[in-house]
Amino acid sequence: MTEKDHDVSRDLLGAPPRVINIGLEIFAVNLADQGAQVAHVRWSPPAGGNAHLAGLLEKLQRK
Amino acid sequence: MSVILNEVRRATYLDSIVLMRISRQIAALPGIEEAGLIIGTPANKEILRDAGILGPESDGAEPSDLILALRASDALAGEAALAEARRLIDHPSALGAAAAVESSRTMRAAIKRLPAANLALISVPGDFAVAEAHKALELGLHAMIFSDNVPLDDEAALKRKARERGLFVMGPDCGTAIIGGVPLGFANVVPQGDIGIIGASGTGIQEVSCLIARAGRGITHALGTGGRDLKAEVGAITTLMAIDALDADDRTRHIVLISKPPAESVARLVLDRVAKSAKPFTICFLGASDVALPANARAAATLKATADIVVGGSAASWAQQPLPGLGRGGLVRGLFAGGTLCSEAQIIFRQAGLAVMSNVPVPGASAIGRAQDGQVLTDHVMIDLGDDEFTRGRPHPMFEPGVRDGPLAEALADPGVGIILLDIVLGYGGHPDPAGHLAAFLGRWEHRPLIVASVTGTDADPQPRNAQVETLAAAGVIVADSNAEATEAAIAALGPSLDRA
Amino acid sequence: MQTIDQANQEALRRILAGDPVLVDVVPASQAIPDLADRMILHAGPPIGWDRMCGPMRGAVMGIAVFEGWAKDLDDAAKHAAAGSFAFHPNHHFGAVGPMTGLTTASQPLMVVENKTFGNRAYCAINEGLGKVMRFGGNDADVLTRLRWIREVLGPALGRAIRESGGIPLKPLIARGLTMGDEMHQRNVACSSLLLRQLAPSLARTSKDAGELVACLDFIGRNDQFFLNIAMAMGKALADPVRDIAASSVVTAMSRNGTDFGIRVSGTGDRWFTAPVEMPVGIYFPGFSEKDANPDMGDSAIVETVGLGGFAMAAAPAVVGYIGAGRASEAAVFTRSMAEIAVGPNPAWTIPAMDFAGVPTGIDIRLVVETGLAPIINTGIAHREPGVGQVGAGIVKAPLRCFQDALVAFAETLGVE
Repeated sequence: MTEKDHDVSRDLLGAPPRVINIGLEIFAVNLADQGAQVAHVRWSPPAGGNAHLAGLLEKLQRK
Repeated sequence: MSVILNEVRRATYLDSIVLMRISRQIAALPGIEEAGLIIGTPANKEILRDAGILGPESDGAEPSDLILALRASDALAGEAALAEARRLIDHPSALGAAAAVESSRTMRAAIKRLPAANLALISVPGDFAVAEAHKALELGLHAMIFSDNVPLDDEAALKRKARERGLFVMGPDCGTAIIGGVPLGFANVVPQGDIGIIGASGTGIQEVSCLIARAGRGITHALGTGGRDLKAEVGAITTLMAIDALDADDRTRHIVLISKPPAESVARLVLDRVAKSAKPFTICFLGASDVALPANARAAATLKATADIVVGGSAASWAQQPLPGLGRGGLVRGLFAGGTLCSEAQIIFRQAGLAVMSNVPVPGASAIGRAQDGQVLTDHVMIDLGDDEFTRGRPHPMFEPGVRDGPLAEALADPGVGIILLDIVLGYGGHPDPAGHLAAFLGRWEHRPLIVASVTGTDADPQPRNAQVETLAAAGVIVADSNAEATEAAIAALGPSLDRA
Repeated sequence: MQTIDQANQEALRRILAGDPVLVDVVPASQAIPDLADRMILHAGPPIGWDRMCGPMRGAVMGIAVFEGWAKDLDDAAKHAAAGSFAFHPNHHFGAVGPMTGLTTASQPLMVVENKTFGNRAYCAINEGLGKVMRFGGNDADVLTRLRWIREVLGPALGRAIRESGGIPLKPLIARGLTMGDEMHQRNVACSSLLLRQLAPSLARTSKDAGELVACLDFIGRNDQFFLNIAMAMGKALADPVRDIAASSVVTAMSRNGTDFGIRVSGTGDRWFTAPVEMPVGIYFPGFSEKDANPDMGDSAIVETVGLGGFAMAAAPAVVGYIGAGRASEAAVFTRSMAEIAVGPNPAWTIPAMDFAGVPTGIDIRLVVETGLAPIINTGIAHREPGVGQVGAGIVKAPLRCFQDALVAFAETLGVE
């Protein structure tokens, strides 16, 4: 699912990073402790690990 | 009569560190002999089987399921522990982790929470990292991929797509970055300064940035490229983009490049770009001595030498006291959490003309067999405990120093080992008190060989370096100022009458 | 052909653009001309007598006697088993009904018209609390009440609503959300607002004081009176979303006590069904899980348009009532549903969430990807017909419905 209206600065180094953390929660906790801007994603395998459905979702992303 | 209890939670996933914490908490409950919470992969089931806690209920467990396994002194204790495990799985914030961070279930919802987001830090299992990275790029985010076990072609495709969009892919297997003073992944608190670092190695970045800090200097940014960026298939895409970025960054006045020696064609690509810059470069192709560099670049074969060159002097001046003589055997056993530090140690041994073995041998070192049980080791050995062989189904030693305990006990008990060489890596993402753990472990051993360690970190880290060094010193560990100096001290302590090859 | 995201934006736009108005009460046979003799509409996806749960069968027997199609309950049961009645989902005839949700020719149905698109949806009048037909009640008291509703309340309400010029429902819901309602398990604010608006018209159009008193009393004593109107409104808002090519938005969620069914815009009128789940909640004194009937009713149409469980953050009091945790955590549910919804409804906002709009338009792709099933706030019926409500709780729509729907939806786009 693309969000073409999501405006973003391509400059990585110009300002402190604003992080979307996907996976190990400890990284998000550390960033928050540092006062960095972070949003954590409680990731789990797409479609509960069902490879067929995950594959469909991926193909549908291009539709 | 011990009982083994197993329960399978279908389609449930929790990250490896959360699982580790829950396992530890359950294992500490009364009457519990052994406990493990683990994703239901075949390899993990083996681990449970080996630990004597795999039950028939887990036969049908899939990789998308969670297995709760434990061995208790009796059924009552076991059931109570299972109930507590269920509670913790449903409420992981009850583990008391620092500041429960606001979270979402999807990247899409997370961006709604943080519309200004510009970087995705991805640490999901390798099989899934590629899809998440594509999602991130399509949403216009740079990607830092901590995950490893990503196929090489996927890495190349991701980086090409990112380059087209003016986005960075740092990784896969990128453990460290520091951007605008913000530590990402495993990284240290390093003062701001004028040195930019580009590294294919996380621990390499950590060691060099900490040595720079110790010399009173600072960095602008440290960008990770992932371990394979300089392979021909990837063609240094991220490295080149990073050079462009640091070249254009006004505050960066000196650029450091750290990696294993790349293939000839890729080296040429990179060095041609370096030549076009007006800024001075220090290039560490770890272990390489003979590199034809452009005029604005200087070569360093070790991480310490890199830091020395960049600060224009000695980054660390450890007044090396003469070490006590060896009380026993003449072999060095290095046990490393940081893979690059393991490589650096081997390189220094080879530079000194000494034979050395490793599970990740550098050119000139020999490979150690995988089946180490029963194998009598008659050479100096450097082990990277963070390598796949050790981390499958278990946490990385940088998260969990206990992973080193087993090999350390073997080394302490081996009469042939005269010196043990260790690294302690501090910083965000690491264990809260690795020195404390080591000191406590060593406290149980009366008769020990020499133990020489280095501590990669700064006094501003969550585990302040000065306090960690004190703890180690009080435990009788000799602490050098850098991994290179620790290695050199170990070589010196072996004495002049060595077989050098 | 627009992209899936574009199609879903169109789906959301249509829901948000709807202007539902309660315009009338008319006999079912008038509202639904195809509603023939011995035709019984029920809640949920299609089902036959043999698979119906206890309360549904109880209601069927009762309604057959009510309509004069059987002389007594036993006779009704024999007729039902013999195939004398034609069973169809309410949804197939523009209607919805709570719990057993039976709709038959002579019952008065409330009419909600979506002025933006011109479509109408129908629902019977809420019978009240306790031993009622929607919980499978079918004794003499139940049928007497139904007769009173048919002969007195229905026509009276119809006159009053027509006289008032119709009751716009969108602003009423907006107010209710700020007053602690979520329009599924909690409707007391909306019921009160409605009665307040209708009372003068009822007074002006009533035939006599006695009738007026009875109507005001009946409506006033029923905290859940508004539920049936909210349901008809939900269907009136959702129906224009049907049949948008490439849209993965849910247009109906419904249960018959045996099966849970969903319909998806891009796959037309196909039902995707799976066994209903058991609600998880708390029970009134003297009752427990072993007394519970499986999930039932067309009322999940309110979650389909962003209310009910989706608007939990507006109704912290409900969280305790349904045993779902601490009232202070009500927002967690709404935020969770926002992860599977296309977007917020700016007209229906929740003060406690800084006026965030209720999450609207369930996207089956997001449900399958995250494994987050829509949560539905529901009453729990006793498994024996006629006992009534024994508790309240949360039930989740079965993931399988969405997984099956995703496969079918992908096929419509040539993806396998």
